Amino acid sequence: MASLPQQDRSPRVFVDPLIETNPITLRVLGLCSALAVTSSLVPALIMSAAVIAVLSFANVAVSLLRHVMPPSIRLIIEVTLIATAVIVVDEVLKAFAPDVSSVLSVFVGLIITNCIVLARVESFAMHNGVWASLLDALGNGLGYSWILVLIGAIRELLGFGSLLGYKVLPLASTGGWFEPNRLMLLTPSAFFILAVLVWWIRERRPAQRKDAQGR
Amino acid sequence: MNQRESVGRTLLVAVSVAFVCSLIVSSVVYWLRPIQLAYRSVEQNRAVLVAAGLAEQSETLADRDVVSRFLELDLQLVDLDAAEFVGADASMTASYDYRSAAEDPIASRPITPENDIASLGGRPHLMPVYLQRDDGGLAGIVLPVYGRGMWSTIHGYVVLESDLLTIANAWFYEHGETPGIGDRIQNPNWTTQWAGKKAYHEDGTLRFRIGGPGDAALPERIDSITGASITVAAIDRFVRYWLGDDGYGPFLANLRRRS
Repeated sequence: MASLPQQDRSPRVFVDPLIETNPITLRVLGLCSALAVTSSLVPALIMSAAVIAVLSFANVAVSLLRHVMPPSIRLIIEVTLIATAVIVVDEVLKAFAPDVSSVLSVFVGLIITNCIVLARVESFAMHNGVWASLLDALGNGLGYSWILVLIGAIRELLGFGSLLGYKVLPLASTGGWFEPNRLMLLTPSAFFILAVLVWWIRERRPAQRKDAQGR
Repeated sequence: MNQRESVGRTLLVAVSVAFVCSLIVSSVVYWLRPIQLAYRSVEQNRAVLVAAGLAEQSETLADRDVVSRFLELDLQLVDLDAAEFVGADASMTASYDYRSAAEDPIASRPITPENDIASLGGRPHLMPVYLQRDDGGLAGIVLPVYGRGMWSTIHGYVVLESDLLTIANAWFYEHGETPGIGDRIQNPNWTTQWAGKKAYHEDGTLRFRIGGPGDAALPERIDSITGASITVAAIDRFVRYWLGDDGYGPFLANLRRRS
């Protein structure tokens, strides 16, 4: 933590988490939800939006309060703020996107325990200004999102032959040529796709490899 | 750092953060609750349609279609202890919510411990039922049931055929059971097993049971679900409660006698 710059306003705060320090592929955080909600594209998109909203609120709120919070109850306050944002997002989804809300079920509530949120709040927002914290939240949120959306798109395309519910590949059962891959509907397929993604990114960016970091 | 660390200050920050957060949460809930309730009542009507076989589980229906198909059913309130229809006027019947009644000490009554096989604690005096008519005769009846599952309260409907002995369908439309395991209570492979099973013996005594009686080859058996046995056992208990003598049993017996 000491190595983090105290006031980093450079665009890197926003850009780095997209690939270089991606919360999923480099830090391997927040996998539970990444695996559970990616069976198709719509839940992945809504989940991404929910995480971005929660992360932005939590980062900004913690950054605002960082000089006020007594260190001894720092974590409790952070979790309270995160939980508040999560409940608000959950209630909004239940009111305006009830169908998706029932698909996401407990996973919206589980954003409270999403390691990415607490990690950003603890390691960044506690030490940086509001603007930088917001950029950091958006960067990490989008870094999480594009992985989720990509996995969701691959799984929906290969599992249902559709994207966002629209038929893209003609199904064999209705006279086309495409035979849906049932494995893609199951959670392990998200692991496989994620593993390929991590491998591909680390292949192209050797600095991300563990052996390159001397660990 | 250390000047932030005094008892008074810690308490002050904790209380004010908690206060502001609870204010945010309660105002959001206050503003959104009506929208959520409206959605819930449409969803509940949709679930009745699915249970009654008037809509497919996967069918996407506009809210308007849900309401128009729902009106084909004859909604009545039943006083469970009197085992009779209440005969209340239509607007009161339509606005009756058994869930809020269950929490209201005046609209509900405690269940005696020996009857409370599903640990419900209490139940409303009145329950809505949905009668399916065809050519004036009774074609079926949709009975709401609910009870605690493993994590959540499960809400569903059990539909009886016109003989009021045979199960036509069952549909558990609302639950918070374990995704991927407990939620298989909504899997058609499981729910279709209910159709045609006898809920009552010919003399009207309850025979409903999940996982029994006897071996898998018997036609009366509804299988449990591997990995979701707690959820299914809970459904077994609360459906037996609701169909039993403390639930719809006496009312159905009356109805059978009359038809």
